[in-house]
Amino acid sequence: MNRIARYAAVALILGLALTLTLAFQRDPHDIKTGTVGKPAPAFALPSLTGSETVSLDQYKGKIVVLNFWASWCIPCKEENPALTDVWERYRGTDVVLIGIVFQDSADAARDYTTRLGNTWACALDGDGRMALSYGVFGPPETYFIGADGIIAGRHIGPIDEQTLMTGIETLRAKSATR
Amino acid sequence: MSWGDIGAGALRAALALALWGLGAAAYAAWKRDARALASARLVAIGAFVLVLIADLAMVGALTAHDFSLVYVAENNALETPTFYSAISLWAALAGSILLWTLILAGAVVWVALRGTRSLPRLATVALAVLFAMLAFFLALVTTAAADPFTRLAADQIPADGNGPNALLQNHPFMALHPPLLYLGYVLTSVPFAYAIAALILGETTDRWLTETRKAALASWALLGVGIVAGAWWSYAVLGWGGYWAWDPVENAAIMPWLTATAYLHSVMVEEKRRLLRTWNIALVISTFALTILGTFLTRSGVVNSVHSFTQSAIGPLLLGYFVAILVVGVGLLLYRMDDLADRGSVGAPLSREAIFLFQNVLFVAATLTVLLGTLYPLIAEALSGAQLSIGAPYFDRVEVPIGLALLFLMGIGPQLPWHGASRATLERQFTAPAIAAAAGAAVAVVSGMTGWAAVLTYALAAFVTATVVQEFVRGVRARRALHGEPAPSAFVALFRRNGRRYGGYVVHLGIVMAVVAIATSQARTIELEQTLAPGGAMDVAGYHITLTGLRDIAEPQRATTVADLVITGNGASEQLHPGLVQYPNTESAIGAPGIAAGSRDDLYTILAAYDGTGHAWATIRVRVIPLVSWLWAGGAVVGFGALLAALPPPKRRPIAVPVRVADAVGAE
Amino acid sequence: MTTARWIIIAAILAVGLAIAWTARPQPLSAAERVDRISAELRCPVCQGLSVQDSPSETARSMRALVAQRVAEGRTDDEIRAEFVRSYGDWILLSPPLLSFSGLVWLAPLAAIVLGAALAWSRARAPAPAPIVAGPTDEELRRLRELVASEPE
Repeated sequence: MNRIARYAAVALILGLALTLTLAFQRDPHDIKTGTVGKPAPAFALPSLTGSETVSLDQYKGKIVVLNFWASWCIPCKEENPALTDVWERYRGTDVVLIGIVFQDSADAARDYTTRLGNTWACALDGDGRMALSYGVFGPPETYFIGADGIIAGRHIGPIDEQTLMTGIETLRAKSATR
Repeated sequence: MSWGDIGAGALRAALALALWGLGAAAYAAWKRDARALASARLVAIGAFVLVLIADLAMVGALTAHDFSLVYVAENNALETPTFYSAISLWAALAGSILLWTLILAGAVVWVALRGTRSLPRLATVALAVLFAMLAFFLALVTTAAADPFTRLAADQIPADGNGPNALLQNHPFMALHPPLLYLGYVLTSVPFAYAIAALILGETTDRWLTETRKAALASWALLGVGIVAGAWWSYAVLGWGGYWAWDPVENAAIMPWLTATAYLHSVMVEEKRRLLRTWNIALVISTFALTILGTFLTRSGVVNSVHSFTQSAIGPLLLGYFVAILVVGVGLLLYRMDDLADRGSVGAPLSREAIFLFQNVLFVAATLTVLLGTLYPLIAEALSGAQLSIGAPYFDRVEVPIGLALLFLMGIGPQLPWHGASRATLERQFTAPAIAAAAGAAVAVVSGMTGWAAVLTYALAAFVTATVVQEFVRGVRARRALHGEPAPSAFVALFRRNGRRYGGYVVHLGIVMAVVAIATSQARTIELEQTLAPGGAMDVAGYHITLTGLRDIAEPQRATTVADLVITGNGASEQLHPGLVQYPNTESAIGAPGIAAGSRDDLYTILAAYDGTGHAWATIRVRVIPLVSWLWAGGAVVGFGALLAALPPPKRRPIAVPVRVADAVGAE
Repeated sequence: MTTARWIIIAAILAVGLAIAWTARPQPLSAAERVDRISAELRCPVCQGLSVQDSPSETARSMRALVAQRVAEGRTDDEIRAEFVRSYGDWILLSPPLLSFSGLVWLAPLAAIVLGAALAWSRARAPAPAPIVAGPTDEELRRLRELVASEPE
């Protein structure tokens, strides 16, 4: 009985210590979403600036960078220059940047885009369904959708130019080799 | 001299004293040296005073808004009111450990002065163990990982700080909840130290149990009350409408409380029948280890929780400490296991000791379940990369049946005598409680409870209440027969003569209140969410709630938007003001619920969303939560019962008894 | 059987009946279905709260989606699967019974059964012979000395 107790105790302590040590390797705030690697869910949302609809099939065959933002989101302001740069760089090519307004009012969102001078297409996700279908946690979040319509990657938090460029160029290389 | 200098210097001096104390106490125990013990005592007092100075220095720095300290810059701002500045001592990691160290230093003084006088050798070894622990925590607060007095370079001192985390300055109750919990946590180290000392010295008596009984009861009571305080905090301040979410940090607090509860009962088996020695020491070690694990889970950043804010370097250190405790404790226990083996067995299955044993099994199973549920996501991710959640549905489904089984045992355990009972005795004793159980079930069905668990809870609650009442009636009757006392003074005398037993019954009643509150509030909460325009109204469970308007309140440290509600119906007539508070350092607003508490139910209102531009609409969420006040009342009753249980037994007056010992010894 | 025994048995039966009555299978209303499903979904932006408990806007839009799917006649599994598609298994607050992680449901039961078995075997263990020995002569002599030297 004693030997069993001894071994059991040692095993339990080792197991616990190992588990907790392994736990250090993970960042509890890094949640992998379920949609990466899956086809991007279709959507058709009212545009922020006009009366037309912004939908995913309008950009079929193009590389779509989908950026979720809100006017009350402070890191979104931080990442705005990076987005602007990338938009300017790839305007008119096979890469398109679309902004999705997340849990915000149309007026506040329009005010934000006017103040910051953003010119890329933005759509309003009124009931939040579209964000739910993508698995969005909260703004800012950026999704990279390849020309094949599959979500290739996702970035949570304010994105920088480097990450944007890398994501876009990878997708361009992939679609070029197809 | 600045606050930082005073604090840092005091901590380092205290560390030196703690190391000295460790050496002195160890030497005193080894060589039975009285002078070494005397110096250890002095050093204990000195260390406590120094840590107190360090804590006060931090409080001073916070209230004076001294932003040259990193801790103050991160947890305080010029607009923070003085009260919240002072209690920001425990707003974040480094300051919390400072508070922990202070309480630990206090425990060291208690053992050094009081403990060593009653059980010299045992207490001295325990003192050495405690000094070692104190030295560890002092080392922690003097390393860069968690030094609260870390300075900022002169050119980086900000003009204004970040301010405390929004959740922590929302309510004055923040002054009470962490200190209560920490007192509970730290006081578990006293029985632990004595247990380790008993193992080191090869003690086979149970003296260390009686010596540490007060500390064990105090830590259990403070932990319990601290947990209920945390639940109240979650309910009244966090504002999501509930009181327990099986958050990892909530779990971290309840695990040592569960094992401590098991210990409080099984220790009675040891005292009465000298059994379960190994088991009790294992429980003491586990309880203390779980408090460290809890601190680790809360402060290391490995789990996502309401309380975890950043990952910090203190994680590995706490983990190492936790493993060291387990290795030392379990190692010593295994070494001494044979000496502590039971002489005798529990015996009859229908005896109090058997019930206590089974109750222990259930408590430990409950603890292991909480541990598994909390750690499993980490394990799964570490092993397979899969991310999954284990939350309320799992914990509720497992812990509710265990809790009901424990409730049942709580009813029959105290009624069964030690060594077993006959069938006839049992039938006599359980007739009235069985009828009460049936009545309780009937009440549940009639009041519309859904769910088998709720009905069973009511039945068992009535059962336990009946057994407790029966016990009191019996006790009063016995005293009246023996001493001819009138009933009221007989009742009081029960507590004076046997505080532990009858105080324990009061605790059981408090638990029953809490359990009934939990079952009822979970089963019959009614909820409604509606968007209203000013002037609009909604009806929930007989309450009529009218939104009269929205208004903004601007304060230096925060901006609040409040919905004014007028409540009528069900005999109520009052106003509630749920709001959303925006602090400058957080993105999302914090909800402040409007609660109308009552003995029958609470009307809980939340401002879920509102029209920011024109105040033209507000989404109000209303919950009618029955009997939730009984949860807080039950917690208070438990605390009160613990106080009664801690009453010292009456002093026995020495009576001269002539004994012809010489004759007895001579005739052999 | 004694009266007391009858009463106790009757009482237990009454409680059993009451439990059976409340546990009888009842069709859930749409709102109850929404509540039940929402209680098993994790709110993505909260610290472990369920979608039913959380007052956040994300939770509210999730509840609205659940309500719509319930109205459309989808089953509980289909609705849950939709969220798992978007957020991964992480969005479920408890692992499904028939999966590898379903073992966590087994663990508490195993712990109780094992513990009870251990306790039962310990309770039944025959007591080892108690150590009984009278005092030795030496000890008796010292005892006498001690007693004789005690003050009256």
